Amino acid sequence: MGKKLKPTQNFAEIVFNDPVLGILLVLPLLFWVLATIIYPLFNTIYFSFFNIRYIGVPFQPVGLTNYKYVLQDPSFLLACGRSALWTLINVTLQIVGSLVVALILNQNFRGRDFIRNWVILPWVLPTVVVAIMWKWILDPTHGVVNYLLINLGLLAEPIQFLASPQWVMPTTIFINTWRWTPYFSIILLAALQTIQRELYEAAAIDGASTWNQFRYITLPVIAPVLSVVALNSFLWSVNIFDTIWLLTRGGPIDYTTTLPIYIYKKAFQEFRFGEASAASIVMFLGLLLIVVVYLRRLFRESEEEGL
Amino acid sequence: MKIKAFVLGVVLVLLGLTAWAADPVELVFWHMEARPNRVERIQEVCERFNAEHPDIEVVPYVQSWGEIYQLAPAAIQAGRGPDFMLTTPDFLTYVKALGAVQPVDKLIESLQQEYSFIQSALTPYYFDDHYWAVPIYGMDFVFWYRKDIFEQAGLDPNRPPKTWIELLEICEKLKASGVVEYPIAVPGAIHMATDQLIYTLMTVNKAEHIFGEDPNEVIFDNPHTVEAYSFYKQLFDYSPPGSAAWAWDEPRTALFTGQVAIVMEKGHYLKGWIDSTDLPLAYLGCAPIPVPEGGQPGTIYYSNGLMLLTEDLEKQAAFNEFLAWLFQPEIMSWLIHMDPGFFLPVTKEVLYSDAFWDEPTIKEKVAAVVIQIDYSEYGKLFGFTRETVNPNAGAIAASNILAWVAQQITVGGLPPEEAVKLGAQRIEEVIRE
Repeated sequence: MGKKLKPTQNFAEIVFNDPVLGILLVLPLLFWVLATIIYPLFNTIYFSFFNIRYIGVPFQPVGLTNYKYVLQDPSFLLACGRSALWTLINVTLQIVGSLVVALILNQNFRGRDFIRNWVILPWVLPTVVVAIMWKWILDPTHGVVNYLLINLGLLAEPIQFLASPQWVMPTTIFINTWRWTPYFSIILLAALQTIQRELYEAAAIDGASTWNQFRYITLPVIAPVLSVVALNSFLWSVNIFDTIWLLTRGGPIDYTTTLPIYIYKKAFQEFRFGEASAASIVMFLGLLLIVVVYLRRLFRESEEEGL
Repeated sequence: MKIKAFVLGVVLVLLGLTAWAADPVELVFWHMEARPNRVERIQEVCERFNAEHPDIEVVPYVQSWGEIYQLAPAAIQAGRGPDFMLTTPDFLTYVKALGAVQPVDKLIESLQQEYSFIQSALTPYYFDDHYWAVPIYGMDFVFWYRKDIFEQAGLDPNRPPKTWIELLEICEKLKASGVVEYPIAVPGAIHMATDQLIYTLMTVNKAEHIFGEDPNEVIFDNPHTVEAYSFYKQLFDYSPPGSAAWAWDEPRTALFTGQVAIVMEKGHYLKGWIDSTDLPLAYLGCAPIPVPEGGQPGTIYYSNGLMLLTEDLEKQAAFNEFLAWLFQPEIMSWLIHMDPGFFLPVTKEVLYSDAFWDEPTIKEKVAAVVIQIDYSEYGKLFGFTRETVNPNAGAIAASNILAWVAQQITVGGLPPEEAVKLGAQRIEEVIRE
């Protein structure tokens, strides 16, 4: 405060040398995080120890009963399984898909700029538009996909993409992957563009194959970005609620009831906020564990590589 | 100088008193009729009331049914809830659990004396020895069919099926004729649309009670319910592929485009037909819900009502005044004509008034409206068929358990007996304390 700045000092140095200023700058963000994440989180933890049927009504403490109930509820365990499957396939498809799209968009070809501009469109569309659009496209009676497949002689009977147990999960995964892949591909494309052309030219002179160039140049350079993309893809996929809800409402029967859908149904359909809170906390702890393990491994690798 | 100050003081006091006296009692009114024509009509109704009653100002706010379960408790808790709001019997049990709903016995009594309610509209709002809302308009399921398609298929367009057996025979004939590939459209998604169709079939098959006289005794698992689900499955097999994901819009589109010839649904098909097809309204036939052998006339019927939340006595008096004004046949008819043929009168005064019948769409399809009104007398609503209501009855509708059971049969391939058994377990699970 009141210090005269040296002409060569940059902003980071000023903040580093003045901790009070640093704290003041961080304070709004800290308050925001406290208000929107920490407070609701502690509230949810608190609620999970009570039998709450309706918000606003006096409720009774029940200890760990909600946790016991949730962990023994077959529907919860099935929802965990579905969430694991949903996340695993989504993350795999999104990473592989976005990498392929990014590699293609990193090449020189006619129309590249046009595609680069428009490839992001599925991600830009509001979820409700995506859901309505795909519901109509895939409808067995009115939808264009079944119409084409039947008229091309590839199908005798229409496929019930969103109404049959066999098809509903692959279909919702496909739609979610279609939605998120462009976003991740743009991030990976940005990473690819940081790689110097000279590296590839030198490798080519040394006789490296395309695969080896990808393996020993491309992949190591974009690995940090890829790790972040994988983490984002994981967290966003596991928490997806809107797309599934708008497409299937967790059905048919409960075949697409993943953990977020299970929690929503518990809270807002069965009005069991205590149990919904307990399920949320179990889910939160599970995710926290996975993320901590992943980040520790990531940081260890970075340290070993001297990054 | 003193005189001037005195006069100025008097003027200021008078001005203050005038301002105080002119300050109208504000009534914040939440409703969930979010379609543009309904929003507009409700706004007009409130404005007209406000113009005629300068001492009261009813201020309508549009909310959405999709969010109201989360929004209402939060707003009420924060002291920013409405003074009164639109409700259904299910939603009422939810808000009542917050301790925020005021009984309206005296108001019902005075309106009953003057306008005479249709009993089925009142029943769901009476429990725990009180009336908890004032019904304003009702709605029920009827049998809609395409007369032109019936005729093309060699069927008599003026003889809709009266029994379940006749309905299945007609479906078979329609299919065999080749005029339509799928004779009927039934919703099958885990959605209110499926719940309401299933319950309609349950009522005509004498399975309307989900609870026993003891509101904690679940009697859903019984032969009548199983028969209703078996019949639903038979209809489902005649419905287009993908019906397991269908709710309100798809069957309507299928009927209006002539893809199917039959749908069972509520009265908004009249306005829907006019708004979205160029076909004559005469093509659209209407009949009561077919009944099984040994069954009873019936349908799902419920009324939307207004529930009073404010504890302020002055506001309560203003609410009573608003309702007394609203229930005049001419005003009430004007309100429920926001969707002609869909919303049905809940008082005999409106029912027998020219104001209600003197509306072009209703005039053109008098028979369809009469059928809906006649059958509202037999109408029931699940969870609200007894004098004592389970406090968690609303959760059964919110959880779409009837539709979930239907999917166990149509998607999961379970026999109706097993699916209904699972349904009873799920209801017990939802209502457990």
